[in-house]
Amino acid sequence: MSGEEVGKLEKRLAQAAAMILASGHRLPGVRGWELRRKLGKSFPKVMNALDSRLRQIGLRLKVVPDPDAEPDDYDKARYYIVLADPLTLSDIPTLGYSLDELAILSATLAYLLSRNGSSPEKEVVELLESKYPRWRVEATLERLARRGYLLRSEDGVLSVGWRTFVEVDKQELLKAFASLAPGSGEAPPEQAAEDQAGEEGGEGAVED
Amino acid sequence: MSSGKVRVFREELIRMISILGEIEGRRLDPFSVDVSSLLQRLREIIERERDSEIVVLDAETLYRVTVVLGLQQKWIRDRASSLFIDANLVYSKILSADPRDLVAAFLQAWRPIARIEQISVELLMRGYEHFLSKPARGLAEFGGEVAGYAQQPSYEAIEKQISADLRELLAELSSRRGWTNYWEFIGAKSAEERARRAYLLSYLISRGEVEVRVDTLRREIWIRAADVVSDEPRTTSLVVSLGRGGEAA
Repeated sequence: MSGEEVGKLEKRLAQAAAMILASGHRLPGVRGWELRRKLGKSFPKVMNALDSRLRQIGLRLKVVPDPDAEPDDYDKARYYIVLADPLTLSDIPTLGYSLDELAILSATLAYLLSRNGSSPEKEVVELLESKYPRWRVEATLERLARRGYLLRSEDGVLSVGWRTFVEVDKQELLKAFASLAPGSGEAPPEQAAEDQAGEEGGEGAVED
Repeated sequence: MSSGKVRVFREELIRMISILGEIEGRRLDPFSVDVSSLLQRLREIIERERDSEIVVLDAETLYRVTVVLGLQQKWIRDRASSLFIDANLVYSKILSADPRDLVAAFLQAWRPIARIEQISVELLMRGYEHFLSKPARGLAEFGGEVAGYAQQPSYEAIEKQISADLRELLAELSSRRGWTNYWEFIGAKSAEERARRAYLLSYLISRGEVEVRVDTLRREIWIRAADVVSDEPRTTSLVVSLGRGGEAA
């Protein structure tokens, strides 16, 4: 590859990364046809090169097919950049979520995914109430729905949202749950303190 | 065949459609319905009764059955991808696990989206150029002459004018006596005037000073001045198409 070609590819990589990372839409990511329009017919090659480059810095490209289109319709698929490696518990404070919110998200998604993606919301709330007060469960589910992890329907059904399809590996999550060792099942001391604060009118670490 | 039996079949088919629709709409377990016995029953009904309404309902039920069969196929595919891990197992794991363990399990499967949520310089410049290209509001509205606040009518003056217009419109409607066709009443030579009359009339309707009767079969709207102004809250919406023969409403 000549120096000029390398330069062109570098420029296209930068364009592709900018489009995906800084998309001006309400939703993150861009459609394949948008990339094709900007980068030309060979955009899948550019995407492969971008993926290799991203992996060097702990990111990777994720292609999510449109649910209403064929799985190999790359024009309608949506392209995202996601983290390549799992996070650790020590990363949580920088994510904008509290431990309890992530625990609620984890339990809700595992339960929904084990039931093929949806369940009556009442059932989910009853399950989560075994660990958290109702006000906390409802506030957190509301926030998670706003973020796109969950989808609430008017007839009281809770389903997995678009963000879950992008960010969460269903099989990995269910495998992790299947291998969970039985624990104490009791709320940790910090949770007990937060519950008390909530009952006094505060909303703890919920933010958006 | 007696009409009584037709009624029974009709109700049975409607019940089947409702159940199948519930499964689709509420995303319930598609295997909760026994499709083969349902199809058998459909066959019996259609062989015994060929009433046109029954045939239509039978076709509708058959369509719903095919939708549920599609859901069953998807269900099996999803179950296979979820490693056949049972919901009850997950339920018991959630109950027995510590929140920290739940989070640790989630972190193994979670790869958050990376996204820049700040405006780029390029976008900022485009916005600035667009801003510069927009004419000043005062210049656009008053043909190039800059209008000061002193020339604008005050809020009280506008309110007084609207009240007078409303009274005038109500008096005109009262003088017609009885029900008047809505379109005929708001009709005027210019589109602006039609829009103005429709706008003012909507206020009178909301305030209960004008009664409305909608004939859905003939697609006609009738209005008349109310004898007694109703104090009850009026929550029904009346939608009037803007595209009716180029008329504005």
